[in-house]
Amino acid sequence: MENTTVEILLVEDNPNDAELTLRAMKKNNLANKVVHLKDGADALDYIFCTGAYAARDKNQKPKVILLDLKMPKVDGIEVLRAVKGDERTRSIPVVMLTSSNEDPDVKTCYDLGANSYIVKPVGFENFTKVVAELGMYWVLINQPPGG
Amino acid sequence: MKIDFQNLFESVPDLYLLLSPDLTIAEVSTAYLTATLTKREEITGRKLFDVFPDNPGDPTANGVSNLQASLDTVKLTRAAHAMGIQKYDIPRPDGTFEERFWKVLNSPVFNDGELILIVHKVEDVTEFELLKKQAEAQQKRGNELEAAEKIHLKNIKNQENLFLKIFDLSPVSIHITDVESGKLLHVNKAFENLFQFKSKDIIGKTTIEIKMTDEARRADTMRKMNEHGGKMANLEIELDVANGTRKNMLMTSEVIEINSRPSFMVAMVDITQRRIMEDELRKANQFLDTILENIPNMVFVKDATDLRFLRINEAGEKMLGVGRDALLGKNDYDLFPTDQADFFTQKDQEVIISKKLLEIDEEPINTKNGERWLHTRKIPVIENGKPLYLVGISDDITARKKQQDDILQLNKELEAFTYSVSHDLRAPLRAVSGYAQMLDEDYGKALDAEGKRLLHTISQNAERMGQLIDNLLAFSRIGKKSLVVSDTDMKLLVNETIAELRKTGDWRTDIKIGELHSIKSDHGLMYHVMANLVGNGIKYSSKKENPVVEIGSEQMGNEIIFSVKDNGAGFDMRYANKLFGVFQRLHGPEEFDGTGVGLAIVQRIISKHGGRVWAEGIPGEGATFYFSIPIN
Repeated sequence: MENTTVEILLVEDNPNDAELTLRAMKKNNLANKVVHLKDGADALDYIFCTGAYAARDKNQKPKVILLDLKMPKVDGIEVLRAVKGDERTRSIPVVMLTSSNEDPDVKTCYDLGANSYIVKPVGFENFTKVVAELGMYWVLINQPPGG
Repeated sequence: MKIDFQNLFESVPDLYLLLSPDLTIAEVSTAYLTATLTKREEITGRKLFDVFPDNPGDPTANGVSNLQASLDTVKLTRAAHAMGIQKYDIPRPDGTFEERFWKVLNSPVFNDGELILIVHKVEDVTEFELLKKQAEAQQKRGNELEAAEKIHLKNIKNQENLFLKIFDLSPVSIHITDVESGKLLHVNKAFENLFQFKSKDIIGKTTIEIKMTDEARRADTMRKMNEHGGKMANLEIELDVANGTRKNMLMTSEVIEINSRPSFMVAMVDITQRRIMEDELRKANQFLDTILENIPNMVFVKDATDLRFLRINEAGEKMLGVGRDALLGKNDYDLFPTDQADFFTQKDQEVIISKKLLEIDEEPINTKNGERWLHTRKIPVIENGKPLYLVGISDDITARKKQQDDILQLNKELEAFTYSVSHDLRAPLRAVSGYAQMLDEDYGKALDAEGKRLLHTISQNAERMGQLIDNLLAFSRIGKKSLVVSDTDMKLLVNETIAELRKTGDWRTDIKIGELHSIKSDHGLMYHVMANLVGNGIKYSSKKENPVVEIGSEQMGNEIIFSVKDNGAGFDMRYANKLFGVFQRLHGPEEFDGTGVGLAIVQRIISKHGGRVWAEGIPGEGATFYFSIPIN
């Protein structure tokens, strides 16, 4: 049984990106608190304790959600809209992951209440640095109210 | 024989009254009684003026006063007094008065020097007076008639003069000929001027003799006149005048009687000039019509008051698929769907109210040939400040519009493509770079130097490709971006640029800043241009011993020309045209780092500002990059 205190929820469909992200977190000692889900539908089930995650403890809210913008079926924006549109989950910080800051969806994300976004850089070192900084920031420094 | 004086007095044929000094009638002759319609017993013993008062119906009656005065004179002067002829009407027995005129002589009769009687002798001159009055009245009437006659004659003379004046002053040529002989009887000044004849030379000659016309034309004119009984109005004929010039005349004629002979009175107006003008007008119209009917644009004319079509050209008929017969007299509501007709009418009204030309860049119109798009120009035709017509000129831009739509669609697709490139190409790159890194971290110890070099090259190239993608995206973004133009202080901007460049790199170039004009530009984009050109200058001169970059500007006509000069690697002018192409480089990456997008971006930004970019270079000596910005 894994650690029940989930600190970080990573929603990322690309396995390579996911592996890189998890590795970056592991380097920063965050990996044992991460749950990785591969699509938006799964993420919604997990967050709202429905479907495959119906048995999950509703009070166990992740401290931060790292959410990829582009995903098949239910994409990042839909997940974001659901999280920020629900009284119970609104306070969870959401960091969007995107491939480019040219992305017109970035503005939409901020409008919907995203707390930050990360452009996934091509260079791995940069990536590690950025992920670590943001993960640390949201998990350790920015404690959500009542968390 | 004893003479009865009483009887004698009474019987004298003359008219006598004997008056006592107090004017009581004492005796009267029978002739007097007869003349005054009185009877002796009725008047004897009565006062004179009781018997003969003034005629109350004649306000001017003065018989009583004049007679009284005469009698008073007799008493005073004791001598006879003759009155002139006196009007003294007498009362008839029925109380009315009869008009009478009298000659009167009053004579005194004395006894021992005392006045005892006045003899009043009268003579009835009524008949004579009346005859005299009648004669006078007749005389007066005669004089009046004579005067009236004189006035009448004078009037006739005046009228004759007047008509003669009118006849001669009339700008219309008038001549009168004898119907039978064709000889001229009268001509006016206008006729003389028109034909250059003197009336004395031609009166009595025929119009053929004086070569006004010839047999054939006269016969033709006469035939036409006869058809209308000699009465013609505005018949158009041709006549020859003095020097043989043929003129177009408008003729009006009528048969009148002069000295009991039928005569033609002919009035003619010279319409030659009018004809020439009409002809010129017709030619001008034909000229304009030819243009109008052959230009490829639709041209229409509407009445400014009711907006009905007055005119349309062939191009318009073709475009609308409606012949002019079906279109003229109609308005937009007869021809087009209501929403379109509303739009057209509203624009028409705008033009008519503003009296100004209106451009409608794009308007859809439903025609018999399907929906078309027009670029229309509507022009008011004003006369005396009032719009008379509305002229419309329409260019069929359907094809262009479709092309534009296609381009917009293409742009959208390109944007989507760019977007997916940025996302989908980056993910595998991240994997290449990331997994190479993992390999290095986890198995680096197992690799020899060559293995590590190969791994490093993989990472480097992945990162370089990431840069290329980023620059390509930046390039396409500038293409889409619209300019935000404001006053730009180029000195300030260049200094900011250099300060920023100093932060990002370690270099030792000597930067010389000359005069820099202020311009109107998009501040952010201009910053990008300067950062790129100065950055290039620094980069390409970095291998020199004393690298120098000079920045300056000067005004040339309507432009400010900026230049950035370095003493670096330079370039061969044969390749100058390749400098500004995307991914075009004149130096390899091992020589100078770069993606080949920077100058392409510079060119895009400058051309968006309406300027040009060019460069001069000498290999090994340096390069100068120029760009121009229009002053307005």
